[in-house]
Amino acid sequence: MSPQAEGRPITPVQRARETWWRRVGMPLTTHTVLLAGCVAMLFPYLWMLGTSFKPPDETMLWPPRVLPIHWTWANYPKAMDAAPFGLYFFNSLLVSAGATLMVIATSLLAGFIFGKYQFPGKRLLFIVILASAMFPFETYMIPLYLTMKSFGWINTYQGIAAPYLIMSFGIFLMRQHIAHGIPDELVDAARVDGASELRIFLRVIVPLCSSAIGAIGILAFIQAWSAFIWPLLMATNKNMFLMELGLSTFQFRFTTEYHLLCAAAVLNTVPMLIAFVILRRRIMESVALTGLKG
Amino acid sequence: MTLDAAPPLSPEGAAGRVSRATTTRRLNRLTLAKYRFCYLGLLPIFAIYWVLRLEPISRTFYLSFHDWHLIRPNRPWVGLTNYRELLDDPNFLMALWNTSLFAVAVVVLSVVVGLALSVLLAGNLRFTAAYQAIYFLPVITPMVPMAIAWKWIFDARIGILNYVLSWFGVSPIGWLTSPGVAIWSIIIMSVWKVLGYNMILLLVGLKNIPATLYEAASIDGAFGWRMFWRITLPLLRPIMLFVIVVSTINAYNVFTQVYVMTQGSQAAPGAQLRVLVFDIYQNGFQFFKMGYASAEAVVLTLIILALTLVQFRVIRVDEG
Amino acid sequence: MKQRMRSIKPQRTTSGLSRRAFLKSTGVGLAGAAGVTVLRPRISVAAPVTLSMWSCFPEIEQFYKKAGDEYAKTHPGFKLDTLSADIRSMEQKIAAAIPTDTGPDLYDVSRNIILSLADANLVPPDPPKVMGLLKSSAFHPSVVEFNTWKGQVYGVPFLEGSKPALYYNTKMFKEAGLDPNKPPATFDELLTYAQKLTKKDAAGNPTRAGITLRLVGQGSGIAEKFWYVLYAMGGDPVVQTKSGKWHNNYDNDAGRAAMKFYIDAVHKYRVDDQKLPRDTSAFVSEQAAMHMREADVIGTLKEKGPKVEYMTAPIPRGPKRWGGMTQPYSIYASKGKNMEAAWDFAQFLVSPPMALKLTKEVGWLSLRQDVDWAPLLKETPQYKPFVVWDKGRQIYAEPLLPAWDEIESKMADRLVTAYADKSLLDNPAGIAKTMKDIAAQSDEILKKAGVYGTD
Repeated sequence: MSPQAEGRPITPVQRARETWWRRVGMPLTTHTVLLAGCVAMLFPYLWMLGTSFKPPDETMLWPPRVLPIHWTWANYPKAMDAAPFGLYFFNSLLVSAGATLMVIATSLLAGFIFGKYQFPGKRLLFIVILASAMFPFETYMIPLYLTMKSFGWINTYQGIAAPYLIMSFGIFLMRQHIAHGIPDELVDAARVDGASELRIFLRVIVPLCSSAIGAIGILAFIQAWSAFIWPLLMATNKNMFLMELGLSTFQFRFTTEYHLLCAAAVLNTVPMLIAFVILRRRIMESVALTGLKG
Repeated sequence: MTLDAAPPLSPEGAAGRVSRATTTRRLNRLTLAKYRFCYLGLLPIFAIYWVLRLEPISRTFYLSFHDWHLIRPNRPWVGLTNYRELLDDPNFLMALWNTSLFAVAVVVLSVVVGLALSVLLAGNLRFTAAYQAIYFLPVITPMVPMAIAWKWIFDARIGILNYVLSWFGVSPIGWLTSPGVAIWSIIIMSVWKVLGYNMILLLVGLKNIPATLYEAASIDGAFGWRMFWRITLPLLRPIMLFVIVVSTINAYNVFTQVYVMTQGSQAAPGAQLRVLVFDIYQNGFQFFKMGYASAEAVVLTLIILALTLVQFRVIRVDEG
Repeated sequence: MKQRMRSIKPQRTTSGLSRRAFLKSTGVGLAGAAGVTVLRPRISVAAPVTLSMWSCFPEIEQFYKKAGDEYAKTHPGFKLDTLSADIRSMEQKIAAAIPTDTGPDLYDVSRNIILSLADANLVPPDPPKVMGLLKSSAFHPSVVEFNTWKGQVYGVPFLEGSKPALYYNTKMFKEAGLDPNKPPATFDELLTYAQKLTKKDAAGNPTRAGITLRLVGQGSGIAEKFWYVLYAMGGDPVVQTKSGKWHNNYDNDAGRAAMKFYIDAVHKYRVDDQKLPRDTSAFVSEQAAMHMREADVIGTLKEKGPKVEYMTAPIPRGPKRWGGMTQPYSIYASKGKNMEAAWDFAQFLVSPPMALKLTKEVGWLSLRQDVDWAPLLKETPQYKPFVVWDKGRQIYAEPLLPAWDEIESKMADRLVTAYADKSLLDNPAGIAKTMKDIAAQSDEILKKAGVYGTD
């Protein structure tokens, strides 16, 4: 990075220019680009947010506006009254949290096994796991529904959570992370020390998977939280509805009550945002590989 | 850091040259313990997979060889009829073309831009946390309000996009109504939606490259682009493989945004936006031709599987 | 306690009751009911019962709940559990639940699913007392016919889902020199009026539609709007022969005339354009002067366009007959222990006071003829063409055909392409060929379904 290393003499002018670039120019361009991107990213969300504060007669304005002319807070209480969102929130939380934990646990174990071991049938089994994620869910939804019925799991939390309890992508990601991010030497060393495979898993591998756990956790949470058709199929009573299902309360046959829908949608995004903020730190922690020189 | 999984110690390996008898016994015991761990560990996981995925999928696969009407009880065997019909079906072929175009475009764009984004945000930039949250927002925004907002942005007369373009003298484009353009509008929207997802994943990969490597490299004189090319990218290969494979699978399975954007009157022309999962859904749940839809799903899966295997081979990260 | 013992069937545990608890209570109930049946006096008050009801119309769910509360006043212990989501999702749900015995006691849904369910024997045909109601003056005979499949009648006709009327902006009428009390009565007049009402820019492109037609979009919406014109011209999408077979009925002068109407509207007179804002939102935001659509727009206008001055009129007629259509939705009971109670409640839902309540509160129309609409019309005169059935006016509904959805969707896709085809302007041969091709596709689908026939 330093010009000295390249063996060239530098002039004060050059040095000044480089410093300016490093201190001001680059960050400036970077921030500009990022901010421009942010506008694009945020725009639809802003529209949604703005519409949630509009009175009903402003939702169909032409030309449309992002921000309301007359701000109103009434949509939020109205939206929450339209359906028992408190209950839906609890249901969604239970299902999503349960799904997230299961996904993390299974991904860790399977990711470790596929990442650090060789055994007959390994390739085939891994392909099967990955391939099962390629098959569109809506096609095997009905046979799965029949299975759930035979278990007596219709209209139960476990039935609703079922398809979200495992995630092939989770296993895949964990496997990549463990296979390539955790040196074999660590595992071998632990083995030499006499640790059982299970011990190695719990004491060596899991602590080093922080960032991947965070990433998979978020994805699993979001997948369960934004589920729609399966929870609808499984619920025979409104008491078992999830948040996303509650949103369809505002979607009528011919029109949609945008102002209420947006208010409810904003409320729906908040938990996922919180989950993201919490898990983000985990993801950003870099794995500290002490004691291992290359 | 090795890039390959360590091969098991085998009696034939170099390390096994020591006294066959004792080593073999010890190694066999160790290997047995490992195998036991592997299979026992995978057992519950596969049991869950069997119940929740493999068994229903196999049933669907089995039914693709039948004339299965969703509600009627009798399902006569028809062999490969459904598959043969697919080849002649213009809707399916159009959906196949659209989806493939869509997938390639979305994967390439979202991975490249996602990579650039994650590189920018992995460093010591101020407000990184805020940027990451903002770029992640589209991933968690519910589809319906988001699709409405985008319909507005793309509107030919009043949309923001055409408005901004008019500053540069570009005449209004029918983003959702012109054939050929409509699919690109959905592509842009889909890239917007998954960018944050890829960003997060790539950040995981970037964060796991130890800083020591960069330091060592800079002492050796590398900097900027060269460092990126020689060090970062190769070490990102495992995560890149993941991101590309997962993006492809998700892109081929696109459904909701197309479904929402083509419903209702202010909508895009359906034929140009026909995608495979939508075709499957329509055949299965609107026309009730579930056997036919199942066959279509099988074909879709095989296509994605083939692509995935190719990606594994090309990106050649590891094996076994 | 059970109201009346029907055959004992294995129960779905809709209220979360465990199997064992349920079986136990069934046993006790059986014993008790046996005793009661032997000794019972004539009880006029129904025993308490909880019905589960699923709806495809989230906005009507509140109506059902209120109706349930009303009903509970005369039937103590009655409870109604409702559930709803958008129609497509609910169709999937019902298609999954009813065949697997995990469905509700009552539900509303589109007719096409019912056909398949009826074939599989999963929907009970109407019992005698319901038939009595249907055959009385309460319902137009066509409505009963619309609910008949293979000689059996299913469901209690409840909602008018699709009867359209012509909405027109009276202010724009006056501006264009048209008399707001004389709306267009024929489709030819419609085009003439539309030309006067369209605003164009310097290049001749329309900036405000004289009439907003459904030119792009997907599926049933496109097709339905086309039927309004097609019926008026004397054609039908499909027609049934004496032997019960089906074939298309628009590869003829009627079909060509209907297509000509659209082509002329878009390309000759330019009263509408694919790029203009469409449909209800266009009318509500005053971007269109006329609009053909169902009664929901009245509700939408009240909420989102209160300042728009408008009136409604019946859909115009063509040279042969009146245009428009109807789409009846019925309420169906499921086979199960609560079937009796379900039928009773369904009949209550279509009683005249409830019909009035439905329209007043939710803006949907009932299918009942014998309701006194005066209180409604006093408040909102725009409901007139929706609730009044003019004598001599034809009523059309979508055919009861399992392959219908496919025919409709695929036809809609082709129509959209045709509307955008400028080469069809003043090109009778081109229009004839286009209609022939589209009709051939419909026939193909009928053939595949095994119901095609021309005799």
